[in-house]
Amino acid sequence: MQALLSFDQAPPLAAPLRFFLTAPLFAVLAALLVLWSGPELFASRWTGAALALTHLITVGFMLQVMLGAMLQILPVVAGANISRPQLLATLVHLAVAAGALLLAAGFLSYQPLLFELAALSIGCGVALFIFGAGHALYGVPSTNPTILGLKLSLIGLAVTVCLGMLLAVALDGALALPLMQLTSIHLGWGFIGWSVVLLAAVAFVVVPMFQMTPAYPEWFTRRFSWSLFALLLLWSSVDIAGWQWSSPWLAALAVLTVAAFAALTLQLQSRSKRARFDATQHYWRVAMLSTLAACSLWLAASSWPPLGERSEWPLLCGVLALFGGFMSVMIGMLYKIVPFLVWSHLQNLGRGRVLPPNMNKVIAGAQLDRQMQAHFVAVALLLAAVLWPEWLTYPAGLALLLANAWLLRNLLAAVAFYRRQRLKIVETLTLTSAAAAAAR
Amino acid sequence: MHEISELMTQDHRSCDDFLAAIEKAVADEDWELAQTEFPRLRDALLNHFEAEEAILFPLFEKRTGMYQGPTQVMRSEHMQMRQLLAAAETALAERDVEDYSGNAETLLIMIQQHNVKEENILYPMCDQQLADQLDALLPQLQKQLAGQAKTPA
Repeated sequence: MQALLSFDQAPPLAAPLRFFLTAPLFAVLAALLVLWSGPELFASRWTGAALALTHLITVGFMLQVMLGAMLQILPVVAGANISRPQLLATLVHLAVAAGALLLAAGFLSYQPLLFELAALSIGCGVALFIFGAGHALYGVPSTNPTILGLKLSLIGLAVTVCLGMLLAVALDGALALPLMQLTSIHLGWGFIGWSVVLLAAVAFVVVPMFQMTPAYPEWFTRRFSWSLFALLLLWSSVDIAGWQWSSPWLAALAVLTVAAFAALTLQLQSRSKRARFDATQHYWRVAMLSTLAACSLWLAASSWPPLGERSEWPLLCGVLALFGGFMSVMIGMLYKIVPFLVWSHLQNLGRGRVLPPNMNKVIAGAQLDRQMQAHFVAVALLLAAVLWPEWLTYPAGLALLLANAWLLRNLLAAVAFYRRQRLKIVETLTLTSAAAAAAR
Repeated sequence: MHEISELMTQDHRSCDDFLAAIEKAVADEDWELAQTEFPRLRDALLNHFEAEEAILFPLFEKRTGMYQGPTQVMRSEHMQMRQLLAAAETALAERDVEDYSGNAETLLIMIQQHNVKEENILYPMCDQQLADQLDALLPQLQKQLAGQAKTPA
């Protein structure tokens, strides 16, 4: 109950924004990496460049957006206030950003020291965040599937990062660990235990509310996150124990559960009462279609050896899930979160006496639409580049660069709008209070 | 056990429906329909605010002693939504699609994040704290939500 006493205490604007503004910088770096390494990047999922690219997107882009968004939504959906959000945001942001850079450099150079520093930096940043968020969530009952999902996703993040740290220090072979097996468990927890569980927890609230769809069925939301968690735990244990016959079945069940979530979300979205789809809704739809495609491809490759033996399918799955799925949904959400936050902070600044322009004025609609088109072109080209790397790697890299430079431009436009309007509001308030004083 | 939550949450959803109906009319450029739909949204929202500010919140505050807590935050958000509602109404009267859509979108997000807080946190607390007063409280709330109490301020 203590947490509720101040449950409007939204963190200062700078706290989530620093994460949101850093994310596109990492995607720009990812695009530069594609251009720098060329077609060789797509030779296999195990090339240093492919692994660096993966982590620039997962740790550099996704983790940044998710941490910033969590800072913002914990007080709203769970009444959980993080204490000293500004300090926490500064430290976590710095550690995770530095860690992502070190990790990418590690994959490109295979210097053990870089991996160790990356593990230390990301590990400290994430541990600090989980400590802060966990402290805020402690004692908040899991009265609904969203609060439960948020808590579980933090555990999923912790498992993912711990496994990642273990892999980083074991990479030189000193610890004699089954690296391939640990990598697939690390990937399973990162994709499903952290990312999908968090995405679904947020979707259960935001899809019905902002897209005006019917609610997700209760039988689904009540079981979704803990079922996925149970499957992951079971699958990881069975896999480590070496029971090869049951591990693919458990993995397939987890993938099917994720596919069910994507299909259900698409079905709900088709019943939206909104008059027109905006960029956010398009982004959600493409993200769910990509997720469905990634799940189908995974299931097909796992059950049909002629496909499973080809080296392209894991790369296609990765591009579909990371660029088509998670990045799409996150950019879509940023386009609602950032303008609303800017509006809301300006509104509070004006104390109800000076009204800021509405949130659609924060970033021009045409800019959002064009950036979205650039992103979709980049996803399509990346998919094609996996199949025809000689022809399409450079166009894909350029498209990715353009889409993310544009995203950065749009987010910076929101910051510039905030600064301009803040000045105006402060001026108006000073003028009116001076006028009131003179009248007295 | 969850009577207050259920009643108030259901009312939130009907406000959403009115907002969607106006949005559709504006998108179709059917201004007359939009203008006949708008008062339904305005009345539903204002009645809802009034039911909380005049009936539910004071009981909650008295019972828990939390006068400066969540209810105070909700009251200030009501104020912001009243302003957005007025801005949307002006834009509608001027038949300005862009201005209406911008204000309505801001109002929608404002309403929804406000609803999340109430539905996840405040209403369950009300259910818990005011369980012994339901017999008197529920009919009062229903009456105010339906706009049959005295005209909201």
